[in-house]
Amino acid sequence: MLTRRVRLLGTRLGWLSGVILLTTGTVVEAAVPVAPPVVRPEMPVTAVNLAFEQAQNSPGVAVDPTDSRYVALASRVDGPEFDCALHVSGDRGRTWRPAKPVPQLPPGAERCYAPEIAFDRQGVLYYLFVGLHGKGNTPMGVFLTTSADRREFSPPRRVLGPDRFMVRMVLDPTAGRGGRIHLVWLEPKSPPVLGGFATAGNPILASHSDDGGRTLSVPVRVSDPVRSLVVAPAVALGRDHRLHVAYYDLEKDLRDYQGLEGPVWDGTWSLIVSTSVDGGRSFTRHVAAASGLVPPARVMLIFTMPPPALAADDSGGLWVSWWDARNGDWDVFLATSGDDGRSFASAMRLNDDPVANGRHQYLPRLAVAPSGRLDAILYDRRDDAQNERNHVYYTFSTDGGRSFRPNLRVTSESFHAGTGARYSVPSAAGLVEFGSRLALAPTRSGVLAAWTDTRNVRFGNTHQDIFAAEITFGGSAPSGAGAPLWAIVAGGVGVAAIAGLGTRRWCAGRSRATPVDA
Amino acid sequence: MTRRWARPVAGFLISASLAACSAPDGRPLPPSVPVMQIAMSEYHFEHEPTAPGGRVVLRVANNGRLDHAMTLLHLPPDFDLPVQALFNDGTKRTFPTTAQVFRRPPGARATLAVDLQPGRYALICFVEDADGIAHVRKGMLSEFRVAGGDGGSKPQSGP
Repeated sequence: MLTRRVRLLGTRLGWLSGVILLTTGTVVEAAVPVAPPVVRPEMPVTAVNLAFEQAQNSPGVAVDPTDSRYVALASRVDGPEFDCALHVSGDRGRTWRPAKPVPQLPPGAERCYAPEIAFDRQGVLYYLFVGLHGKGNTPMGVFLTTSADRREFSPPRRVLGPDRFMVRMVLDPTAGRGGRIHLVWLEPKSPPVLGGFATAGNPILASHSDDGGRTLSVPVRVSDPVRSLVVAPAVALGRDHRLHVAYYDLEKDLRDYQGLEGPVWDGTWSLIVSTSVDGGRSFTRHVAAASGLVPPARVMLIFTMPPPALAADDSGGLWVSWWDARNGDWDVFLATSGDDGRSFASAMRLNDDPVANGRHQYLPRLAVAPSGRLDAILYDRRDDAQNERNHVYYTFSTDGGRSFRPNLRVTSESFHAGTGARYSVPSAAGLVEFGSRLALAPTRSGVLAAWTDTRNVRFGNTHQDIFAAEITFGGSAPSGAGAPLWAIVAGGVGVAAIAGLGTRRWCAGRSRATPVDA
Repeated sequence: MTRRWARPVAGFLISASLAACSAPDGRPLPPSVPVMQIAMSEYHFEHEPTAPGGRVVLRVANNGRLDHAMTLLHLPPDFDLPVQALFNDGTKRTFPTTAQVFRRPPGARATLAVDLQPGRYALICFVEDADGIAHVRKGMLSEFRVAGGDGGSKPQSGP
C-alpha cells in the first residue's frame, strides 16, 4: 500500500514538474526583455557619390518571414530626378546591397516613385511603385512587381490607374488562399493643380487582391464621408483580418490642402482611424483618435505629406502616433486603443525631453514585435541648441502603450535637416524635403530602424542617405528569437511526459528492490 | 502498453522543440558588404593597398592627436603619375569627389558606403594646421587600387 502511494505520488510529482517547466518556459519566452536595449553601430544603406548627388529618403523595411536574414528596404528618390530604389541585406540588416526591382519602366512611365514593399508568407517580395510622366511628374499608374527567387523581378503589372496619390500597401498573409494584398490611396475627383488638390472632398479608397495583384476588388470608400479634407493615409493589419487606416482631417485648412501660399495654418487638424472588420470589403467605423492637433509647420507638398504612424497587434491593440506643436515646439504623441480602434485613450507625449524646450521631435514610426512589445523611433533635436540637427531616438513599451521606457539615442552622429531636395511650389518655399517616414521592423533579436541621414554631406547639398541600425535586447529577446511558441509547448509536453514516466519507473524499480511485507 | 508509445512520443516532442530553429530555404542571400578600415593620424592614412570593387563600407577613424578629414577621389585612367604628383608638380587638376569625411576630432569615427569602380583612388586630408599648411602638404595623401583598373603607378600607402 505504501509503495503504491509512493508510486502514485512520484508520478504526479513528475507530471507536475513537467507542467511547471512548460509554464515557466512559456512565460519566460513571452516575457519582457530582461536586458536593457543595446544599439548596434549604424550602417549606411545607400552609397555616397558626391559627383552625382541623390536624395534618398522615406525608407520602408520588411523582413522575409521565411528567413530573417533576408531584409528588404525600399526608398524614395527625390533628386536629381524622382526615382524609386531598393536595397537588400543577407545579414539581418547589417550591410546592404542595391537591387533593381524595375530594370525597365512600364510603357508610359518615365520615372518610378514612392515604393511600398511587403513579403508574403512564402517569402515572395512585393514591390509597389507609382509611375510618373511629364514635366509635372503626373502619376500615370500604380504598378506591382514581385520576386520569388531574390534575383529577378517580374514585369511590372498595373494595379491602379492614373492620378492615385499616397498609395499604401499591406499584405495580409493568412487571408484567402495565398494572402491578400490591400491597397489604400487618395483619389482626387478632379486633376490636381500645381502643388495641391483643386477641390475638396477627395476620398481615401481601398481595394484588395487575393491573386497576387492580377485582379483587384471594386474600390470602396475608407474615409469618413463627412470629412472633406482627408489626406496621408497609413495602414495596419489588426486581428482577425481587420484593416485599420489612419489619416489626417485638415478640417478647414485649404491652404495646405491646395498648396497655397501663406503662414502655418492657425486652425487645428484631427486624426481619424477608419476600420474594416470584413477584410477590407467595407469601412463602417470612423473614430477620431485625436483632435485639436496644432499644425507644426506648412505642409511642404500635400502629395508627399507624412502620414501618421500606425501599428496593431493581434489582441485588439491599436496605436497611432503623430507630431504637433501644441507645446510650442514639435512633440511626438501617441494614442492607444485596446478595443480594435473603437475608442482611443487621451494622447501621451512620447519624447521625454523637457516640455517646450524649443527642440523639435517629429516623424515617428511604430512597430509591434511578436512578443507584444511596442517599438517607436522618431527624429529628435534635443541635443542641438540651434534646433537644426537631428538624431534618431528609440523607446518601447511592454504594457500596451501605457508607459514607455526612457528614450534611447540610436545615432552616433547628428545630421542637418536642411539638406535635401526643394520644390518650386508656393507651399514649399524655404523648406527641404526630408521624407515622409522612418522605417521600423521587428527582428529576431530586437528591432531594425532605418532613417534618412545627411551626416556625410555638406549643409545645402541635396544628397541624402539612408542609414540603419538594429536595437537588440540580448540573447533572451522574445521578438521572434529562437523557437516559436508551438515548439516550446511541444518541448514542455515532452519534458512532462518523460518526467512523469521516469518517476514512475524509478518508483517501480524501488518497489522491486524493496521487499514488501506481506 | 503505456510504456511502448510513451517513449517515442516523448522523444518526438523533444526533438520537435529542438528542431524548431528555422532552417534556410536555399534561395541565395546577398553577400555581406566588405568593410574597409581607414585610420587617420599625423600625417598619414593607414589602410589596405587594395579594395574590392563594388559596394564597400568605409570605416574611418581618427587615431591621431589632431583633427583630420578625408576626401576620396577617383583618379582618371589617364593619370599615370604617383599620387604625390597631385600636389607636387604645380599642375592644377580637378577630379570629381566621390566622398568626404568632414573634419573629425581625435577619437571620432565616420561610416559611409561607396561604390568603387576599377582603378585608383586617392585619400587626401585638407585640414590646415595652425601654421597654415594643409596636412596634404605634410604628406597626408595616400591611394589604394581597385582591381580591374589599367596602367598607372603602383599603389602607395602614405609617406
